[in-house]
Amino acid sequence: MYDKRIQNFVLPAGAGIVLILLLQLQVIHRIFGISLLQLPLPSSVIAAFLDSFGKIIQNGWATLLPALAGMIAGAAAGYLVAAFATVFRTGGYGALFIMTLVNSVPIVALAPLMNRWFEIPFTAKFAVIAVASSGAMAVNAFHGMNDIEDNALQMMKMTAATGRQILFKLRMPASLPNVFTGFKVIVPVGMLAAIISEYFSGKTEGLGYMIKYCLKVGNMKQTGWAYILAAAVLSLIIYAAVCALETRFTGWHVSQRTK
Amino acid sequence: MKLRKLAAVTASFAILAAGLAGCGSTEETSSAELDKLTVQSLWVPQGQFAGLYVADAKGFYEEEGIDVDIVPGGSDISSEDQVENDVAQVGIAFYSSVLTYQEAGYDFINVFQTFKESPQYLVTKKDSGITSGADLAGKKVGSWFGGRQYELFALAEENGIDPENDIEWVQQDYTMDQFVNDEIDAASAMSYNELLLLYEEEGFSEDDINIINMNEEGAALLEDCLFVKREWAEENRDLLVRFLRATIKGWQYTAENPEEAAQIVYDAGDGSSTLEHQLAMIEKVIELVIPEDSDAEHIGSLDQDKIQQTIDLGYNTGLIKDKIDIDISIDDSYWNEAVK
Repeated sequence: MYDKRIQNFVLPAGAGIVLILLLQLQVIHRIFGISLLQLPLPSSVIAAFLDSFGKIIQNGWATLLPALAGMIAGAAAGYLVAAFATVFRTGGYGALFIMTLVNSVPIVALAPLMNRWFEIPFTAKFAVIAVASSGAMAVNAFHGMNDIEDNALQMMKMTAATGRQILFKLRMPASLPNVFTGFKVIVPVGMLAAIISEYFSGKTEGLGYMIKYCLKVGNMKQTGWAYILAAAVLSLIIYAAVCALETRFTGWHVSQRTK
Repeated sequence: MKLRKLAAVTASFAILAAGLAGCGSTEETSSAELDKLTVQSLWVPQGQFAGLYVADAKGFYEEEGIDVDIVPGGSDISSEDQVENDVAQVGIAFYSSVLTYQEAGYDFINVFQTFKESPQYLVTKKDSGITSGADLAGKKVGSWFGGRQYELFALAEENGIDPENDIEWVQQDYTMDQFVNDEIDAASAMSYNELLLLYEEEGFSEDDINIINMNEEGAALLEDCLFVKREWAEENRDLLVRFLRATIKGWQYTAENPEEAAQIVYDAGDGSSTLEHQLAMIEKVIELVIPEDSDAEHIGSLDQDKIQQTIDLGYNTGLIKDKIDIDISIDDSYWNEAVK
């Protein structure tokens, strides 16, 4: 029998291990003529990671909190706009349009601006992440609420369901798979926004700040890579959590069936 | 602010591109006999680097048979990485920063110590009562970080203050807004730049502020220097000596003709600053290049004591983990040959 776990886990993990080995044995360094100073060995990055583990946790926390809060707030705002746009076609669609428009402002431009507007770094980060997250959720949720089976909609109408009932009993539950798709888009975008925001932040904490700082100093480059590793691991953990929740709550949907 | 910097960098790239295009068409024949040399600067053209721009504009480099290209820097460009990657042969960087690269295994040597004193000041408002390093405990102190905090760490430690726990550090941007708006108690300021901005643009006078001078507090780390790869220097000894000779001449000319130098630097720039600011900057920079205890004959010389002090302070504050041997870190034979 063909096992889905091979496809989902063993192959990607194997590719990762091969890549790490190629780096560790300096094969990639030799092919591209990169020196160890430019790209440290995985072993020395991990050594640096363990060496500054305490500081990594401390800075990771400073990034994680606003990142999670911002993602959730952005997602909630996006979802509300999507619901609004579904109920009030004309006005709501305008709001959706504006939200995606704001969403398309590059984070690099937004981050320094927000740092000026909000003096507290948490708020500034939170705002950037929320803005960056809202668009993806709005578009996905709107799609989910409107791309419903025609039969189901007709059924609701035939049984004299009110608009409110259609929204809460049909559209919103049906949009759940799209909401999770939205979250899957939001996680990397939100983490990216958090880190970029810290690049420009007035506070000397957070993974983004530490990456910027360490990579600038000659004898701290391994530590810089360790912080990059930490940011990647953090993103993966949140992403995995979203996937787990998705399986738990949308088990009924076609994309989650095992066969 | 970041936007303005981005714009400045973009603009300087555009100017650079235009300049390169110009060279390609008109100077092809003459530059064929000249040795090409690229210098990675720390920042956009400004008085801080006047000696090089003057040497270029006045033809001192050409007299030595060199066609020099000075590449502007930016906050995310590392001179050390540019030189390591052979994008440039000569780099301008803080000596304290070069030390961290040397420790990491980059085989660089400091061949020309441009600034003999530290231009980094801490400024406080007169009514704050903070007049020396000893008053900094429990205060909010601004730093640009990226290596520039170690001088402040040294200042704290010289005064028995634990820099990690007794001072609240704030990442300072490249304006003085945080200081003006009382968001920080003490702000980092370069004598040749931010301090002048306070006077020129923010309406402060010398009576309104206290200045904590790193040189007087015994916390000075050496900043702007010229560094190269050791291997490159050994293979291109003559070229490097000629380059240093012309650079010294450029700084001497700058010291004698600050107005003309300011015009040269201003013309090389992108117009984001004023001619007056460049002149004021050059006057301050000259105090660092030729301090009172030195003279124009010794521009760029490598003062063993001050260099050793930078290594020692760097070690004490955690900038470097080992005391680097001064004879590995610097090589004054090129400078000595240049002034012979």
